[in-house]
Amino acid sequence: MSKQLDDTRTLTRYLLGSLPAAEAERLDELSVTDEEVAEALRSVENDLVDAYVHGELDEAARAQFKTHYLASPLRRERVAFAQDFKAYGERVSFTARAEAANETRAEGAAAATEAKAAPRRKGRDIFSALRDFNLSRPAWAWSAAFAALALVIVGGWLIFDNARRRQPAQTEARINAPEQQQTPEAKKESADKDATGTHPADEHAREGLESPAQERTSNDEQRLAEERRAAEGQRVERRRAAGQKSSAPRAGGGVASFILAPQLRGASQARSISIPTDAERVALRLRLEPNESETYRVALLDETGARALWRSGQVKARGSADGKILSLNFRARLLKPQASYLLRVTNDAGEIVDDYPFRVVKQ
Amino acid sequence: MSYDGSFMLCAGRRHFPVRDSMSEITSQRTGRMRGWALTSEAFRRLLGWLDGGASSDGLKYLEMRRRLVAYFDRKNCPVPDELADETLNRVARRLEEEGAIETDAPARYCYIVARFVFMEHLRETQKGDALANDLRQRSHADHLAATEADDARALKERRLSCLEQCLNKLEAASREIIARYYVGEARVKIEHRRALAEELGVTMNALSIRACRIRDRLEACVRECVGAGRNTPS
Repeated sequence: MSKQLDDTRTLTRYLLGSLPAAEAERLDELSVTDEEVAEALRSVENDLVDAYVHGELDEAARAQFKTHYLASPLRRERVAFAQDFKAYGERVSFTARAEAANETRAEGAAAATEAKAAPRRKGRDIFSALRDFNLSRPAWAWSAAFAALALVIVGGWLIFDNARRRQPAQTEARINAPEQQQTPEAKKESADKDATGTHPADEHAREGLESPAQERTSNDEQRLAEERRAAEGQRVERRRAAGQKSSAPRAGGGVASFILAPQLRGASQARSISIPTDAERVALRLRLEPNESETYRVALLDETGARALWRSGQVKARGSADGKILSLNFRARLLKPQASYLLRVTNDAGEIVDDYPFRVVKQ
Repeated sequence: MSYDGSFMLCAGRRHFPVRDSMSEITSQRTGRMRGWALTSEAFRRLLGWLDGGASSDGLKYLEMRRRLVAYFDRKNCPVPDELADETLNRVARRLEEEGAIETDAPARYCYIVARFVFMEHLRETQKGDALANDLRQRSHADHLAATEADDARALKERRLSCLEQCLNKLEAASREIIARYYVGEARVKIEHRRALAEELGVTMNALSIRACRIRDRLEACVRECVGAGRNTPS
């Protein structure tokens, strides 16, 4: 798909009639058959027209625009619209700026006036209006007070509950921290130290010997350190295994599963996925950009984007509005090795929500 | 013969009225489709074929028509709307006569037919009657140009007023998008768009598509409003 999509400069030259005939004809076809090229062309044309209207084109492009682009009445209408839009935008901006400036001046004047104890204007100040409202309706004031009290109580309970839930974890952490653990011998030693002012171990240390308690403590420490290292190693292994699961499929003639994220503009490479030769189906989970739709349709397009190899029915996304996931699956035999494809997600209105290009790597 | 009836293509709350040009296609005007009328059944079959099995409530048809109009316009055909409709009529006829078109994908087949229509149009422009039509079109355009020159200021105000009305008809979110997407000069514009895309939580590509569609709707609304204003006696 990406190799067929011409960049902005080529499309601009196409619109200005500057491309060689063969290339222009190729884009003629793509402008009708390729959805991505059609959309890009539309966008580039709008920007070109705006650039002309804003006087941003260089001399050569401007001349070409006048002779070629403006030859069509329909295109002249587009330019007229762009000129109107520019004029309207300038007018609104000017008005908005003037209004903002007026507002600022008015606020400053009002503040100065109020500082001189201007008479209270009933109904104009929201706080004074609230005061009046509350004074006139004691029941409302009491209700508001009770609501505030309820909020404080609930908030306090939540903080307490949160602290209570954390306590076992902290206790566990203390238990697991060998440095803080004291063997009975160690406790006795410190008690001895407190009593005599010297640590029995110090005497042993002076003699170059490890006291029995010290020896036992160091053994415990070693043992605990080894246990910690083993547990850490297991955690690392589990993480590695989980990571491999998301990028590599389960083998053995079943379903090859992948998670795809939407393509970002400017991204040059499509995601590569490895499908075992004996996989019967491909299961995909597509992470959607946040959007308001609830149901979608997905199409698997070939590299050219012109042919749909597979289409889903109406699919509902799972998750919240910020993190929707679409799950779908299709026969693995639709995908050829070393070929590129595009999964296109559209909403019920037919608008493209996201594109997911990917490349199949032979396994 | 003429196309019997007109269709309102509904997509949820939005209505996409089929352009008047569909009802204007007659054998007398085009001289190409004698003996065949685009029936409602044929039109429905065309819509279904363009949709490829997943109903788009006519959006695919409107998009294909838009692309064909743009194609013929880029070829400097004076009547791109008519040629686009002619193309789609021929596709519909083929579908009705043969039941299905399986040789090419819908978009590609439409392009192939459009090329034929364009080549025929080129041949006809070499003939006298088509050339006279072109000249009539151009003289009409010149007359319009002269009229606009005379009432330039009034027309400008009328257009701005229509633009304001059409902007107010848009949903607030669409208005916000189009106001921010197309504002600013080249370098600043890119930053505005990037920021807008981030705010909306969409990719730049999705934002571009959305902004283009809003702009198209706005242009069509302004065109209709200005045209209605011209037709209304003052």
